[in-house]
Amino acid sequence: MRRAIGLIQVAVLFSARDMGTRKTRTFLTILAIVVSVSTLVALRTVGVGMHAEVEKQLRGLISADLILLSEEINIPESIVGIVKQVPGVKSVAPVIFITGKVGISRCYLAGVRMEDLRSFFNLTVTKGRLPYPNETDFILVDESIYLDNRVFLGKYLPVKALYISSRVEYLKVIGVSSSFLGIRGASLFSGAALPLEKLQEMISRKGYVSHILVKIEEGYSLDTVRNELKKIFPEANIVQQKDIFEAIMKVLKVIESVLMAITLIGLLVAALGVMNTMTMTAREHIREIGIMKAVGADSTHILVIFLTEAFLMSVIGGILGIIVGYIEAHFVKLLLLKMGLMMDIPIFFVPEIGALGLFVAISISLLSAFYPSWSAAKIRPLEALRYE
Amino acid sequence: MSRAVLKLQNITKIYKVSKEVEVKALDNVTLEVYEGEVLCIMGPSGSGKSTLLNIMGTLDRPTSGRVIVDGVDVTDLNEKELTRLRCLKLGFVFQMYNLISTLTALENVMLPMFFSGRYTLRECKERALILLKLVGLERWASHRPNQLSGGQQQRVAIARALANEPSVILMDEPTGAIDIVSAAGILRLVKCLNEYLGVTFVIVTHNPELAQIAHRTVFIRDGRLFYSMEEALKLRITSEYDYSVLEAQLKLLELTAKGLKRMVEEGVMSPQEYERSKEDILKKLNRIKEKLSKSDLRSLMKKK
Repeated sequence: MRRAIGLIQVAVLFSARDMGTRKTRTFLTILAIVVSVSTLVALRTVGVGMHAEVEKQLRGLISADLILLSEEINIPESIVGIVKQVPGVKSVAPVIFITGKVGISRCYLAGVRMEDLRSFFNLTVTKGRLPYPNETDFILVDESIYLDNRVFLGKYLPVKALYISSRVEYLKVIGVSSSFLGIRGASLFSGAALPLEKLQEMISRKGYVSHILVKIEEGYSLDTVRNELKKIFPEANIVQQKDIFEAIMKVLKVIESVLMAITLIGLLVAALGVMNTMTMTAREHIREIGIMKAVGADSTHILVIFLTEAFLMSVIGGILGIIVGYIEAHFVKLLLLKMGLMMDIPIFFVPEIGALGLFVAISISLLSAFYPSWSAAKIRPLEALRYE
Repeated sequence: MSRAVLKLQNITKIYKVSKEVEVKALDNVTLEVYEGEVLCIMGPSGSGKSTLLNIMGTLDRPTSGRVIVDGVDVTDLNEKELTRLRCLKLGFVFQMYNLISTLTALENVMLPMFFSGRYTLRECKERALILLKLVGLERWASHRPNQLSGGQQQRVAIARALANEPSVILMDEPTGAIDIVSAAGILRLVKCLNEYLGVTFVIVTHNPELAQIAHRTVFIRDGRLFYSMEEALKLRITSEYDYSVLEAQLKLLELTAKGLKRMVEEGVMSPQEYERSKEDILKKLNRIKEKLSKSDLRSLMKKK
């Protein structure tokens, strides 16, 4: 036991001195670890934040249990009456959901019946108000459209449906809502709501919608209602919101794996950096290894001494990497916003990610330092002493 | 006579330089080192004295023969056991000090005690300070090797060698890299440590001054051990090379003369310069003639 403690004391002393003597080399190695760990931490933090935000948005959505949808705006609004008759259906909302532009912001445009805003969607506003009954030329926007356009409540913004019509309509901004109508499951992107009739008029599709959202009476099973609807509309594409959630989560997983792959490249670079340093360190110290072996150090001692150096560098690099990574995450978030991801990703410190960063830093350093250290430890004392 | 702390029995060491070429560095060497003595091993460079010391210190293994330390045959021990043996029984002092440059004098002395696992950190430190005091470097404890003179570094190395109270301290040219005054200091220290503390030393050197403090001096020449200088010098130097040297010289001169002639013909060299060079060549030819006048060489030449 005392020998082990003594060994660790020697190892720490030797490593600390060595790192202090070869400052540039130590700095560069630690830098390599910091860069890779911080990338890992930043991307994971953003990933976790994104996940959390998406989940929160999904949960915050007014859930339509079933959605009849079409790629085009060709569902007759009149079928709402028929759908309502189906046993188990509690309420129905016909909507048009298309991409468009409000002021300078690209976003989703949701054409919604006035009465559905309150009763079906339970929409609330953070600023301004909900429309008055029979109000027609209004638009409700989300926070990011509101901020991007630097608009005031009561002002008019040009609204346009993209790809379908070039008609521009000036609509009055009456309110800002934090959550939005998650019609395609979740509004990962900005959105704005306007009267259904207005939108139909803008795109010349009077009487047609793209989605029919259905809420189900409690006590009825989704599948029963779905089958019932299938019977009436055999051609219809009916999805459950659950499916959409899953699809979104799958996409998120893919994004996260891509981020992980990028991180892995970073880690590989760091590993090579550490290996390079440790090979150089071992080579620089061959004579000293010889001396230590002559005065009583065995291979284990030498191995421990070199691994300690790698360990110390990885701990320093790991801790710095976690801090830098956390800061970096904010930049990644800004970058994503700049690149057009209209989502406010919350960045919060996740202890597990920190632990992962440190663990990865230490294990990568030790793994890549092992071979050079081991070959240094194995060298015969006489060869080492002769080494110039 | 006191007990032998280190025994070499019929040690032979052959280095294989390549498949065909072998160098016999040590040839059947038998030697005993007695407790409390200062043994000096002298010999010119390349005579095998460093090899002998490395084998004594178990840093190298003999091709044949036995090494016995404190009555234990250590020839066939594995690397780990040898390490332990070196740590506890043997002290080393090298020509180039071999201190670890990043550690202070004190830490360098602490190192073998650390590795021995016998002492706590505090004990190591305490012992190291005493040892530094013993070699007169107490004040320099916190200095790094590059802040110390050669003589001081060698004293630190001696303190380090003493750290685990070894049976014998092996010194390889301990004064080889330091000035005369410092060297004298080192010798005084060795003498003092031997006389007052009874430390056993084996010193390998080609510096005859070191023999002054030795109880016993042996000589090594061409891998063989001799107990007196006269014996060692019996190796005669023969003149077998002479003929081939002269032949080569003749050939070289012939080629030089040819070159000079061409240069003067082509006008690159002035005739005066040519004359001077010619005189030079003639002088060298005369030298060869003189050598050849010796009868034994002449007969050799005739034979060829």
